[in-house]
Amino acid sequence: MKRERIERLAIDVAAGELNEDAEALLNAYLAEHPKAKQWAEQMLTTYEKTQEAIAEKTSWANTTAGTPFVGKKPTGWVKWRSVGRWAAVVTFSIIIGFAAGRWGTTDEAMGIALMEPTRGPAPVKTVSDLKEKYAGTFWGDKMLALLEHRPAQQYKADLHSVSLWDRYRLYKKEKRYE
Amino acid sequence: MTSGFEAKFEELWGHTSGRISAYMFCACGNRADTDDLAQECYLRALRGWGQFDGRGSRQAWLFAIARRTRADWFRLKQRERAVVDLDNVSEPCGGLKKPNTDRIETVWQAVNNLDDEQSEVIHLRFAAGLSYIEIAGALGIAVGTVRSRLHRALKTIRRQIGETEQ
Repeated sequence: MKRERIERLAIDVAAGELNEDAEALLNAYLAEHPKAKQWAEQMLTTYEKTQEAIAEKTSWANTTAGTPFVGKKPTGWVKWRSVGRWAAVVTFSIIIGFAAGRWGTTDEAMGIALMEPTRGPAPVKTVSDLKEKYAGTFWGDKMLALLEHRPAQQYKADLHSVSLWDRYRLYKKEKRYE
Repeated sequence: MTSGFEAKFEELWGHTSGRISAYMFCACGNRADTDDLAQECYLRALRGWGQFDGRGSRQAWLFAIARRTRADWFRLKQRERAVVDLDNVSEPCGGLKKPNTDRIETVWQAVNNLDDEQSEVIHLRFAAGLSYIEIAGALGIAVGTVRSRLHRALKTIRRQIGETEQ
């Protein structure tokens, strides 16, 4: 066989690409032809050196293979059973609330009491009320005499004839000068 | 639970990620670019996952993508180098011609000095560990062509590392 043929077969053997029968035939041939055996061994040496050099240079690559960046969703972060339980509770609460509002009886106790306006006419004590307490004393008589001649303080904002907005503006204005 | 696609991709990744990295490293020679190239390769594989027609192995299909990714990278680098060389026209690029007494380095440099056709086969065989049929599938050539290229490449390496033919 020619040298090229021998070398190719030697490479096939080294690469594991030659079947056993063919390999046995090759070995038998090489045993009978020392020159051919030498060619084969030289090529095998080159093959092994190349393999060794590349393996040495790329050895790090096989030790740093990580995990793929896709297909790695955080599994189990959504607890579907828990979500379902809470959804059932919320839905039940909504139904109960709707039913109670729709068909439940509303008596006065359940009604919402409207709040009286806090800014109404101030409860002013009348002079007659004060007389009962202070009449008869020197300074009490003086104070009562003064009060009888002084009209009670009346805020314009307390007037109900003006609109709510105007009442607010008047109130702010009057409060500013107090 | 992972879907069938994800499981298949994970399996492919598990079998090939180290070898893809090794194959890419043979082209670029540094780990930063290797990681970029490997990532780009798998992204392309993901995008084209459905385009695999079932002929040959999925692994050969992936290495065909790796080869194209590498070729694109080479083209980009050559363009960049061409721009750089305008300033350094007289200086040789790279340090591949330095003499190195270390045996592994010598062989490594001999591999790097191979032409593209031969180095592709050497890288796919020794770095990626592909069989002849898989190399043929990845390169789109016949198995006989793989054998002859491998043979020529090894002869070139032998010549370069100084083993005399007798």
